[in-house]
Amino acid sequence: MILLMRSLGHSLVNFFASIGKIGIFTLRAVFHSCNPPFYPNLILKQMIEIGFYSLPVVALTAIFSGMVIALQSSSGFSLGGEKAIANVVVWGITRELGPVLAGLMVAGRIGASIAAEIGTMRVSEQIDALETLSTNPFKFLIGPRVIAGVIMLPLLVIVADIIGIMGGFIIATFDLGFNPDSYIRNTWTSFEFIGFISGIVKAAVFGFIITIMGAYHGYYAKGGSQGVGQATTNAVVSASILLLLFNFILTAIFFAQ
Amino acid sequence: MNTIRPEIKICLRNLSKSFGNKIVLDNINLTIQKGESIAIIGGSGTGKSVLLKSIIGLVKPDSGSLRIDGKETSMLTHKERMLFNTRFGVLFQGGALFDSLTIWENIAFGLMQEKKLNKKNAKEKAIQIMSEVELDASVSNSYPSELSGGMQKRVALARAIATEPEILIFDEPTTGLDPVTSNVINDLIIKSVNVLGATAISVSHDIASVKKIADNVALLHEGHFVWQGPADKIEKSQNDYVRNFVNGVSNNQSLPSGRS
Ligand SMILES: Nc1ncnc2c1ncn2[C@@H]1O[C@H](COP(=O)(O)OP(=O)(O)OP(=O)(O)O)[C@@H](O)[C@H]1O
Ligand SMILES: [Mg+2]
Repeated sequence: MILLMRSLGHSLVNFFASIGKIGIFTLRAVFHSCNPPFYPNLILKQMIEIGFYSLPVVALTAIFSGMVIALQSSSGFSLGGEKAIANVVVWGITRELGPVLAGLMVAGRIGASIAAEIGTMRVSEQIDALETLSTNPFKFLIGPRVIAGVIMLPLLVIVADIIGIMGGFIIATFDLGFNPDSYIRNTWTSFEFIGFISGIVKAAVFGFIITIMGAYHGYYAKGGSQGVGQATTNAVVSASILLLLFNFILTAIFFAQ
Repeated sequence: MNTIRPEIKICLRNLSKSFGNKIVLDNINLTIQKGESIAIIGGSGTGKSVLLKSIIGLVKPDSGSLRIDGKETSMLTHKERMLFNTRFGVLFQGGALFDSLTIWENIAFGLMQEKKLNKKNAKEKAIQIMSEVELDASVSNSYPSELSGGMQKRVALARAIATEPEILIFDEPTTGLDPVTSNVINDLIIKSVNVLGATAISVSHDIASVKKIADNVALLHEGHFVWQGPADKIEKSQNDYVRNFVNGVSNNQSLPSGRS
């Protein structure tokens, strides 16, 4: 019993210790992202990596989600018909599915690659070499990734919103036989600014979470390629969980009655 | 002005470092003069790399004093430490080349970051240094993974000396190289020390190379320096540890791992 309590206390202490470590890491990352020297071409490179190369996966998830919402809601509530379906598609995509699915996809793609890159640099002493060349890894490696993540995720979500709503449109007109003009009109009237903005804010926060988690786990990777693999897994899992947690918190803040 | 009294560049006093309950450095004392070239030798895993990393500031000693140019380094803030690091040129044991950058970008990294050279000048200088380490200019746009181990080592050396630093740190610069390339590297180290007037600390397993590049030698064993002296005396030393190390005989009475 005492043994159980002790190991429980131990893991609790470890838990809070790592929260503190992540907190300090985050503060340092933010501080160095906001202070010169900046590396514009590194930021640009990361923006292309995070934004442009994520477009295919994000577009694919968005179009299928839009289609599936339209299908599900047509079988779900047959009463409201056309207007209700356009409404559910717009709300569902802009408020939730756009940001969350794009976030989760990018977490898998970018969170993993950031952790692997920085982790490899850690275990092969490249980060040590950076420091001996008077270059702060927080400014040179972590800053550009975090900045690019916070800028590119909202842009990706705008794309996801548009493509998702198009997915709903395709099902509504081709499969359910709705009138395209009136469906588009219904889509416009369903569009609400606050829902769209909440999705964009969520996206920026998700971009921050994903890049910070990737960088954190990579930065503290140890023990060769196995350690890098571990860091990659931890980065994706922790980014995904935090992303869903913050999605809930932000929803509660935005739509509190 | 030349002063008669030699200046002390690096001074370690009672420096200790453990990892968990494994004591790696145990009250180490070492004084290195300005312009001196010292070699640190010792068996594998005795803490030579840890010692170098403590001097560069990558490993934080548990206790003791470490002065560089008379300044206590443990008192420096992170920012001051970064500025301080412009004095060092480091060749890491594993090379530690930036694998996302090309060869010339690796070599010119310090020139662009520390000396603020523009891209064109930095590349010219990098290619000039490449010829000094006998690397063909045609590989300047390759990536480190495309080069052989020996070539990577030469790139790492080029990167270490590119900014003409005051203190050169070489962790096993010739390990794994053929005798000809080893000699080229040895000569380069000698030249860097003589021409730049730099202070050099090298770790090496190769006694022939140690005798060439170093004025003084310190032998690390079980957390202590068991012998220190001029490089040309090393083979005539009566010290058991030194004799065994030089002749490649294992110290059975003191080595814990009894590999026979
Ligand atoms: N970051 C670390 N964490 C834990 N232990 C470490 C760490 N760095 C080094 N050690 C331990 O310190 C000891 C000395 O390591 P070091 O790399 O300095 O050896 P070395 O003398 O350079 O050996 P070699 O000649 O093989 O390079 C080793 O037992 C190693 O396991
Ligand atoms: Mg070593």
